[in-house]
Amino acid sequence: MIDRARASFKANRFPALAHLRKSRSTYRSTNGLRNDAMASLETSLAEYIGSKMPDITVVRVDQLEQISGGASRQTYRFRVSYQHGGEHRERRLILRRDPTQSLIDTDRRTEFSAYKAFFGTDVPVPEVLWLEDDPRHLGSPFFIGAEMSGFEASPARMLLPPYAQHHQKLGEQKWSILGAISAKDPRNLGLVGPMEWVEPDQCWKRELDYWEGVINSDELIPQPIVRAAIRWLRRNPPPPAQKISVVHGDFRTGNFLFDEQGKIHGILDWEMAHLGDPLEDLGWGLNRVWCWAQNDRRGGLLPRDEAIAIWRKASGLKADPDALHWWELFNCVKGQAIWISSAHAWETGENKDPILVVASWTPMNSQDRAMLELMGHLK
Amino acid sequence: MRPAVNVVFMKMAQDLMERVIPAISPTYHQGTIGMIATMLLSVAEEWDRVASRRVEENRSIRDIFRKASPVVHKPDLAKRLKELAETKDEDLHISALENSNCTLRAALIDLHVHIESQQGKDARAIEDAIWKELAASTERRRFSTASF
Repeated sequence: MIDRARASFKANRFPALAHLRKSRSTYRSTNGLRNDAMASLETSLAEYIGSKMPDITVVRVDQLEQISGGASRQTYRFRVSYQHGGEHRERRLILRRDPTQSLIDTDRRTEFSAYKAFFGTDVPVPEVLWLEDDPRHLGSPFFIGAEMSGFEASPARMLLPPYAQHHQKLGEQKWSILGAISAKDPRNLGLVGPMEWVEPDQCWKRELDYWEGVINSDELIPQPIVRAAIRWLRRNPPPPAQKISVVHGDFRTGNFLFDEQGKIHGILDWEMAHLGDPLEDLGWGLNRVWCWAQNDRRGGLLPRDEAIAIWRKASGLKADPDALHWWELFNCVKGQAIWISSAHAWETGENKDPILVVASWTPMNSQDRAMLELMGHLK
Repeated sequence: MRPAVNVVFMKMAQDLMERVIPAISPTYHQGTIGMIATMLLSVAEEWDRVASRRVEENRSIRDIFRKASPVVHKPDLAKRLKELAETKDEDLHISALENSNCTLRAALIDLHVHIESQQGKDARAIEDAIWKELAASTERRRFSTASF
């Protein structure tokens, strides 16, 4: 539960870090922190990939590098090279490995299933190759997919040239892609089963119960604003979902890859995906904590109403104002649960990654202010 | 302490971002250093206000409790609010102020729940005061780099 809650956060998404995201080639290559563990992992990866591709020989893995990929799962990029039919081939891949002692089996399978279901559709995602539950290969369960290299994901970088001139284009694609996700029937995607079914009138309750449970479990200090928001949400439930959709669960700026021409190439981070009300995803993306440019542009890209209009057109669905308001406020509760959970994880767990501290300190007050605004109490 | 802590932390954060990070690899560790720099910036901004905002907030909540206790119909809650309204922040250590703040904000939640269920002008006035205090609490905690 905690792991699901802290899954969404990445360090390089803060404006303060904007200038850090330079091209890799500009960095001096000291590689001083490389160690035997990384070399051993390269060897194990080569053995595993060789076992999965019996037609290849001389398998070698190199250039293994850990990258930011959320706090719940270790993410690495690497190059695999091999011989196939007498030809030398190379491919760049991503490893998403559970930390030792992780209990997030469901999330790993959910994420893998979502990538697999959407690959090749009008929702761009990287190809995933192998899901492995057996910890004997790499020490813990993992999955491997293709790397989409050469693109940017950082909202901080998005605010700077050459990306800043493409915000309109990026915003139109972003909410159109979300509309495409919302429009699809999860049964046709084969995701009913890998993801738990929910009845249209139960979507709101299931999600609110879950995230209130996270807050109840992890709250370190009293949180009067989120508690008031939860009471309001329970007093004013939304109408049943107009359809059951795949909900990405973390669809926001920072979780898609884009290029210097403003084209989106991949939607990432499906680990909180589930079935539910499509307005849930729309509300999450509109959350004020993603207003990276410190203005009214949602996700740092487009005004709220414009984003909603694009989503409506692409999805063919309604965005009932009262229902959407409920889901926007709910998403503030969900966000606060994630930030609370991050603080709790750092204080009580073995994971002392600074990402958990930043994820708590930085957005928590903004999240409170967003709730106050939606409840009409921020003057 | 001189040089002033907030100035030192801001300078250290700047150095980490501009000089240290470009000199290290891999990018994962650059991200870690970047997060530490972000935390230093947060602490630098929080440093000067860290005690005053808690004292101000505790005073404000106690004032609400003073006004609310005659309106509260639950005897236990009314008694608790009255007692808390009479407490003072005599120990100005941050840990002590934080403990007081947590005690007061926990009681504020209970008062908020109770007052929402009450009818009448007096209850609405207390509820309005609670919302104003909650809005003010986010102003006290606000970072200049915050998204909202």
